[in-house]
Amino acid sequence: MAESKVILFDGPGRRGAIADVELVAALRRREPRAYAAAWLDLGPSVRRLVTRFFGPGAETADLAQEVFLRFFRRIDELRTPEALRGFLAGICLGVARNELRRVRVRQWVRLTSTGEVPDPPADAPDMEAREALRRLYRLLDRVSAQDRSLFVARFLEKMEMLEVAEAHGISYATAKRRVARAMTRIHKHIERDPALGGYLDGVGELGA
Amino acid sequence: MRSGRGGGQGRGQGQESSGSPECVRVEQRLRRAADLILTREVLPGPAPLPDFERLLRRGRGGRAGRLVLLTGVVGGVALASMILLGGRRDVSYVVDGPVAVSGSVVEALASRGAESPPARLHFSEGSEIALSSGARMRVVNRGLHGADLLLERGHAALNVTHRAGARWSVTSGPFTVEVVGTTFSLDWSPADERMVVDLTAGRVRVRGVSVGGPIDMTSGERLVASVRDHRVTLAPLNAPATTATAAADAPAVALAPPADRAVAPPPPGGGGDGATPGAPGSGPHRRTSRSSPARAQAPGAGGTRRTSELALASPARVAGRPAHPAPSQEFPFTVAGRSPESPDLSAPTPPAAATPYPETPDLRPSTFAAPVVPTMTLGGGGVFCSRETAQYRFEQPEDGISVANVYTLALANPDLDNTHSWCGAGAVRLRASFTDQGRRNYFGRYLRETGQMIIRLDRPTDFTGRTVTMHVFVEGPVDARFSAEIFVVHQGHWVGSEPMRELAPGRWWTVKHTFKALNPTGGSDSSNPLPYPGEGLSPVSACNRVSLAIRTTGPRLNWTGAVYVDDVGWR
Repeated sequence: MAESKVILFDGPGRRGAIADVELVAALRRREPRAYAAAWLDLGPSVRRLVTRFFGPGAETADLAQEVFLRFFRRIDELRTPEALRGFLAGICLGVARNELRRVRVRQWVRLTSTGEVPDPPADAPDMEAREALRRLYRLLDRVSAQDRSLFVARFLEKMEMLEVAEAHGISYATAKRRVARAMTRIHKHIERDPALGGYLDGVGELGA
Repeated sequence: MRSGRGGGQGRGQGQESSGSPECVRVEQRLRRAADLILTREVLPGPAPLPDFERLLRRGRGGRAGRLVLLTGVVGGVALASMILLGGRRDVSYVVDGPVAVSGSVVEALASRGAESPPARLHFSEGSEIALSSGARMRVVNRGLHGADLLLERGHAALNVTHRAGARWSVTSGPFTVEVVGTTFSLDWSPADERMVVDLTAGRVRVRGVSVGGPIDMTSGERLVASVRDHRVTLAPLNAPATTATAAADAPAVALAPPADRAVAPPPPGGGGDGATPGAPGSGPHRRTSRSSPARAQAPGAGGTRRTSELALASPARVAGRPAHPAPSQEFPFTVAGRSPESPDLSAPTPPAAATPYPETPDLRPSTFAAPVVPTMTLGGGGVFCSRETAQYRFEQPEDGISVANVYTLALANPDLDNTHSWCGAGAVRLRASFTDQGRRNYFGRYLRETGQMIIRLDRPTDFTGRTVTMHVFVEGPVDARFSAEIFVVHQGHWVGSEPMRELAPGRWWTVKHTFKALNPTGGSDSSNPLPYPGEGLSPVSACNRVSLAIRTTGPRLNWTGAVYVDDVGWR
């Protein structure tokens, strides 16, 4: 056992930017080990982004798999291997947008059969926050897939505007414009929901 | 809010937020909305590795077909569940008598007279609980098959209706009595930290850190467990003492010291239930637990049987000899020969009438020679070090050792250490920092509620039918409690053992599990309580990782310390 040489994916030696380059090279060579390495290392962040997009309790396994299949097929389009994660985030947001549109076309607008956002698998004593979260995702259900994607990228993934632009395949200026519009539209929906707006303002006051 | 054309090329969010007060307000609201999502986010759990090569070859058609199939299966299961579970309800209860009810807490008030009925809880499936005056009980959890109760103080008499699959438990202090169907009474004195269980009919199992391992009681037995002096007495029910206080006055025997330090020989036939000398509930302790006085008290019992029981004789029942001191971390470890306090096995036993519990077994393990001079932290494996060879002994740095750093963050900084060892002179030391605060992971656990040490194997290993054994020592506060689980990872599926619960710091514990061809994933009370998405069973034929999960449990969930892991092996 002592002479075994393995790559650490779990420990402090976790892959960084340099290893991203190696991973991209291996993916371009279509090495099966690279598929597994990419899934192990990048899978959690992809599933997290999908969960953020669709809300807690959303089924992420199939979508994450679809994201990676597209990612592997399009790996040759990646210009700079250092931009691997942004490239993958863009694919992930694209898959999520398509899935949302597909669901809406099929009249499956709601996330679950009941239309309720499922609670996390843990006891959540803060009923007010839970209700606010439910209302927020209902609100996001009413905005376009593009606006929702921009909100997720900008505010949940905390991407910078240039990264938002790259992830959505648009120019920097267009990204700024569209983000601004998305913010306005989402905020209008918040204004129409006094309970949610009040909760968000209250959180701000408490936080201040 | 700035328009797309306004502003410079600032890239940060803060730079983008400048503008009119209204724009700032809009952005602040959206940030709070984002924070609402992020602070309540549940991190996704590990997912099995898809066969990407096959999927890439197959294209999209296969996915659609699989989705149709999956939808059909899920629909079928949902329909079957609705049919099977329709009309079934959790057990419910009503109370009567002089009680004060506050939420799920029922407190029996002082009786107003002899004719006054006692406080009672009547459960919907027929079980009944009578509370003596002053007793306080909390119905912690109710389910289809029973309830979890907490006796906060006082005396309770329970009559649990026997039903298939019934699951009842009563917790008092650090002890838990698990019930299927039986009649027994329970007395808990928080001031004295003493529990008395009188079992009239049926069987119960008592767990608790001071008990050392699960003790199965049969009808007609009384168990007295004391936290304060670490003593457990298992005696006939018709013994003179009838209350916790009186029972405590009876000659109790010392609780078994850590069995791993006892270095007792393995039971014949490999141990039967798979218990190891280092595991709680195994070895001498378990055998003596089952050697109840009721069974051993037969007068005239002699010959071989008597000799074997005498080997477990307690000094407490040897006239004129002092009782064993209560085991503690300073418990003297005997390297070879008999303990000076042990009775002479060849000496005749005093008459049974000499003490109220003449055949009360000694829960101390017998002693054998150890190959190294052991201490509390070194050489815990004793003679087993020469009999069992582990794949990972950590006598020198090993490759592939890491800690999980996504979903379970309580353990960090794995390093070789020479201050603690099960066998040899080295072990892996991990810094431990447990807390029940912060974000939760996919499994609903706090991120620092659990920590995992991971060993990445250098080749896929088949664990089918194999028993994986690990040894763990925890340094932490004396009131910290934790559970330990073994996991193996088969193509992304994390397959775990049943958690070994209520472990305490300050001693070596042996954790082991035998994997089958198909193993359930996830399990209640596990650090991974949820099965993997869409799959509940997994083989273990090609595993590339082995892991040990330590999860903080018990009343104290926030603590820091160290975890030592040694001698990880399978066979």
